[in-house]
Amino acid sequence: MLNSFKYFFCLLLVMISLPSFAQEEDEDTIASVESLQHQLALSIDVVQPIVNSQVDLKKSYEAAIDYYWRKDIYFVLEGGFGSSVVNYPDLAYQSRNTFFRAGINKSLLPRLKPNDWDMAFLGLRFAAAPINISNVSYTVVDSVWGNNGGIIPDKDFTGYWFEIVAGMRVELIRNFSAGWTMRGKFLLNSKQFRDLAPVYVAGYGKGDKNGVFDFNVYLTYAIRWNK
Amino acid sequence: MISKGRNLLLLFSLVAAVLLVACSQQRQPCLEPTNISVRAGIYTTNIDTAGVASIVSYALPSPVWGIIDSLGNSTFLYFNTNTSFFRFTLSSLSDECRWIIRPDTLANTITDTLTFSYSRQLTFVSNGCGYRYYYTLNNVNTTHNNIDSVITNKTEVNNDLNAEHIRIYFIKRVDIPPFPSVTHGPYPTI
Repeated sequence: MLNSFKYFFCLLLVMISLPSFAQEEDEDTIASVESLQHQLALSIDVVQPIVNSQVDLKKSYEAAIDYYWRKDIYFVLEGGFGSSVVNYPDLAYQSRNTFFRAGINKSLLPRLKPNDWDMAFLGLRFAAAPINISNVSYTVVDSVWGNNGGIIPDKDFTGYWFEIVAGMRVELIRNFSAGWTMRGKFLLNSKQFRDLAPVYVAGYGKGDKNGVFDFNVYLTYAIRWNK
Repeated sequence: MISKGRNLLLLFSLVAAVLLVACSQQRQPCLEPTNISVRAGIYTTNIDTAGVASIVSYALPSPVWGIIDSLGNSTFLYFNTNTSFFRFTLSSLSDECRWIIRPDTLANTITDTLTFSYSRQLTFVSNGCGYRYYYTLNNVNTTHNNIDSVITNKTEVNNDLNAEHIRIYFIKRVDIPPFPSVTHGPYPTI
């Protein structure tokens, strides 16, 4: 957890210092211009459906909305849902969850023209996921005294985590963009996962890891209107 | 206008993402210890030529040990030579179990019975390992044919591989050849 907060504050420092670096760079090289439009962008993760078709144990779907505020800062809302199935000889259960993330992106690329929406960005997210785990069937294998199994009743709980993200988005044709986002995710309430950490939490990843990396590829449609 | 480089970067990203996510579908390996057991060190009282007594680790010459099941049937399961360490698996089916130990098969010594009383905690280890029972030792009783006493060092029996939970003090008998004191090594695998 200490490491998580260390990364968090390092990123905050970087983001706070970006405008000053950008100003220095502007004076020397490229002048960044402000957009004359508002933008609301709708994104869908296009990798997850491919993975879902290849993997039986887990399903996940994800979409995002971001709104351009000003000075290359975007407000971001993300959400999705998914499930996982575990069917091992000594452990069997199902889990499903929805998830929501909220945060900001800060574009690091200077805007060359008012209608230049390409971006390479850093960002932060706070995320929550209500999780349901079905009845858990378990067997403790013991070659000396004999196996011991049972059923643990179903359980609902909420997982919280924060993310440090980095990525890029490029406009391929007018209003349509593609891009990727890399995510470092750090679980905030790992105690909730002690009784049983789901093998997969949609939006997070492996439930028995306190920190995970993940990757999204988005296709984006942007709605723009004049200020 | 989108450059060729940007398109290639996007394509590379897509392929990398698919590979990254798709390779994570197999069951994770179990990296935790799976054999949760009571670890016991064997000791005896050594009296030197000056008549000074000291507690020393003691290697039993050719011990056999096993269980008494819920029906009262005794079964010897393990045999070893010159060992001063034992592992006793606790039964997850009840809060008490009994182990028998004979220190020297060759000398046909009498068997002692160790009775473990404990509470059980079902514990989720990981998706790779599943669930395990951890235990809290409440009491360890013994007969006194060859064993003088049993001292509990550590009551929590879990995945800590370095713990010596109990010390079994043997009576040094004439028919058990005197072995030199030994230093602790790894516990035998059972």
